[in-house]
Amino acid sequence: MKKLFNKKLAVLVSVLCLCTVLFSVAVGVADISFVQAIKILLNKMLFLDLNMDDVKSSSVAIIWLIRFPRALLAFFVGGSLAICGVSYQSIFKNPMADPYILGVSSGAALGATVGIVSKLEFSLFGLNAISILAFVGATGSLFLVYNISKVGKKVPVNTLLLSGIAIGQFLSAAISLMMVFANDLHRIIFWTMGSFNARSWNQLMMVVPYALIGFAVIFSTQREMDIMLLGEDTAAQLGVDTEKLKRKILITTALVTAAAVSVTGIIGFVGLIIPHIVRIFTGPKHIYLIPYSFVAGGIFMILCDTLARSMINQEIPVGIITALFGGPFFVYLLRQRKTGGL
Amino acid sequence: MTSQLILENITVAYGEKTVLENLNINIDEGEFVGIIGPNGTGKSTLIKAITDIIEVKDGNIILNGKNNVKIGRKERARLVAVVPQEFNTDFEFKAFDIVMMGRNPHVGKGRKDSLRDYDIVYEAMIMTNTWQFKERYFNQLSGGERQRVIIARAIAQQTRIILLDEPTSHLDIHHQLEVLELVKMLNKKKKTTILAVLHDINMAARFSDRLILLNDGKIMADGSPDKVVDEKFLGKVYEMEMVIRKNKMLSTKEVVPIRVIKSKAKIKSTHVHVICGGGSGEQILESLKSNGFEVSCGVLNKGDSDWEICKMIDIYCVECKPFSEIDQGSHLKNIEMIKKSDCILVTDVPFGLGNLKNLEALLESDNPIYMIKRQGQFDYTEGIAEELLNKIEKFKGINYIKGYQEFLDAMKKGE
Repeated sequence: MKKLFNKKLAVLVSVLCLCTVLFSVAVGVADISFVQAIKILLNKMLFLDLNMDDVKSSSVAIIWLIRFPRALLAFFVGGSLAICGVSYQSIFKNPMADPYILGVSSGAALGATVGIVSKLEFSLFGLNAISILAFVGATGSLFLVYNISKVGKKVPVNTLLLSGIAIGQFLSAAISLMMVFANDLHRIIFWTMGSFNARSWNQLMMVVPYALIGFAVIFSTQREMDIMLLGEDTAAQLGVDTEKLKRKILITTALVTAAAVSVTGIIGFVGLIIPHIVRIFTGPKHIYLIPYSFVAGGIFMILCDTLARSMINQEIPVGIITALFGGPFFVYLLRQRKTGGL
Repeated sequence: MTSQLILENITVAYGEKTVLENLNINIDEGEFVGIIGPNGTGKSTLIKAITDIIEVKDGNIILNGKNNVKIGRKERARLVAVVPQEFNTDFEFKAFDIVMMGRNPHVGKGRKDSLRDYDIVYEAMIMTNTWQFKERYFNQLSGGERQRVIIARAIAQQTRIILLDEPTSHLDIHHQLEVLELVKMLNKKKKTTILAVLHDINMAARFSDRLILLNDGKIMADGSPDKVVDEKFLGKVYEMEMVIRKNKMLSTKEVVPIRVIKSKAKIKSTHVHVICGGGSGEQILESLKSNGFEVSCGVLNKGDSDWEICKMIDIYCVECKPFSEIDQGSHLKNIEMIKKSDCILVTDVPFGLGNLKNLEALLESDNPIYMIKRQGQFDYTEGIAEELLNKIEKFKGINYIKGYQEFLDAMKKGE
C-alpha cells in the first residue's frame, strides 16, 4: 500500500517536472507557440529531422540556446540548494539552517564583488572571472569557518554555526566597504539577488556535475542522517561516525552550493523553505526527503525564474521572486499544519 | 566465564575536574551489574566513557578483548547498545523507524532494510510489547512506551552488552518495574550482559547480580547486593540516616531512608524504657532513638515486629521466646531496666496472658509512667489487666497522654 503510494507519487512528480520545463520553455517575450517549442526541443534532443519550415531560425536559437538551458540550470540550482538545505537542517538539527548559514554566500559575494570591482577579464571553461572568483570565495569561506570551529578532532555544531555567522558578517562588511568605493554598485546588488539571465549551456555544465555527484553523496548518507536527527550522542551510540558524516556533508554541500551560487548569484529562501515544505508531506526520513526536495526545489526554481523573466517587461532578480512567493506559501502551509512537529 | 568489559585504571575528566578516578571494573559475560551512587559521582560519565562519547584521560577500556580506542563507531555499536535516561525527538519518526535505526550498525551503506532486518525488528518489538503501536509517532507515545521502544532498539542492535543510564528515573513505579523486568528477562533469556546505572537502590538490589557503589568517581563497594546494601557503605555515601532490613517477601535487602536533616533539639541523657509489642512501638522507638534518648525496651517476644525494629536500629531489648509467656528471668531483667530508667513509656499495646507480666513489672517502678490512652478493647485477660492498671494508677500514678507527640513535648519541656 505504502510502496504503491510512493511509486505513484514518484511518477506524478516526474510528470510535473517535465511539464514545468516545457511550460517554462514555451513562455517568454518572443512569440513562439507551445507546439513550436516542443518541436524544436524534440528535434534537437532526439536528432530528428522534422520539417522545420514553419519555425524561424531565431526561435530555434531562443529555445535551444536560451530558454531550455536556462530552465535546466534553474532546475539543478534549485535542487542543489534544496538538498543542501536538507543536509544542514539535519546535521545541525536546526530548522533555520540554510545552505548559506556557514558564510558560503558571503564568501561567494565577496569573490564576485572583487571580480566586478577589479574588472578582471579572464575565463575558464567558458565561465567568466566573476563566477570563478565567487566559487573560490565560497569554498574559501567554508574552509575558514570549518578550521576556526575545529576543537581537536571534533567540530562542535554550535561553534560551527556561530563562527559561520561571524565570518559571514565579517565578509559582508568587507563587501559593503568595497561597495562604498565601487562604480558598479547596481551590478553588485543585482548579483547578490541572483539571476539566471544570460546563463546558458556553459553555466549548466558547471553546475550539473556538482549537483549530481552531490546528490549521490548526500543520498548515500540518508540512513545516517535520519539517525543524526536523534542527536549526536545517540547517533554515535547507534554506530554513526558523526564527525566523519559532518565532514562529508560540509565538504559536499560547500562545493555544490559554491558551484550553484557562482553562476547564478545568491538566490535565497529555496534552501530554507523547500526542505520544510517537503518534510510536511514526506516526514523526516531522508530516503524520501532528499530526492523529493531536489525535485521540488528544481520545479520551484523554474517557476520563479519563469515569473522573473516574464512578469513585467524588465527582468526581476529571481531571488526576489523566491522570497516574494515562497514566503507567503510557506506561512500558509505552516498555518495549515496543526500538529506542530517537524 | 570470560570478561566482556574490563575497565583498567580509568580516569575521566571534564577539563580540570576529575569525574572518574582510577576505576577498575571487570564485568563477566551474562552478569547483571547495577551501578548506584549519589548524583554527580560519575555514573553516567562511565557509560559515556565506554561508548567513547567522552575521551578517557588515562587507562584502558577492553570490550570483548579489544581495546576500545581501536574500535570504530559501527563495530562498537554491534557490541554495546545504550538505553538512555529519557529520549524524545521533535521529528515525526514512527516507533518502527526508531527500532529499525538499531539495525544501522549491521547494514552496509545505503543498503535497504532487508527482510532479515525486518524480522529482527519484529522480534524485538514483540518481545517488548511495542509492535502494536509500531505505526504511531514516537513523540506521541507515553514515557513508558517510549522507553520500551528504546529497549526494543537496543535488542535490535543485537549486542552482547546493554548499558542503561537511569532508564527508569522518569517513570512511575508500574513502568519502572516493567522496564527492569524486561531488562532482567533479556539478561536471563539471551544472556545479555547488563550494566545499569540505577537511582533506586532497592530496585538495583532486587534486579542486579552485583552492585557497584560509586562515590566521587571512586568505587566504594563492589559485590553482591547483600554485601553492598549495608549501612557502613550507604550511610557514608548518601549522608543520611537509614535502616537496612531484609525484605522477606522479595528476600532482598532494602533501604528505608529515614532522614537527612538531623533533629536539632536533642534530649540527652534521659533513659526511656518502652513497653510495647505487636508493632505498637515501631515509629516510637525509631523517633526516640533519633531524638537522642537512651532507649531500652520491655519484654518482647523474639520475632515480634517491635523486636525486629530494636534489632535493626540497635536498641537494647529484654527478650523472651517466641509466642510464649514472659518467663521469670526476663521479667526480672525487665524490672531491672525499669528501675534503671528515668521514665517509662507504655504504648497502646493490648494485653493478654502472654505479656501480662509487663504490666506487673510496672508496679516495681519508682519513675514516672506515661501511658498512651487506649481506644477500644485492650484487655484480653478477662479483667486481670484492667485490675492491674487500676492498681498501678493508685500506687504509682499514670500520666495518660493522647499520643506519642505529647510525650515528646513533655520531655522537651521538662528539659
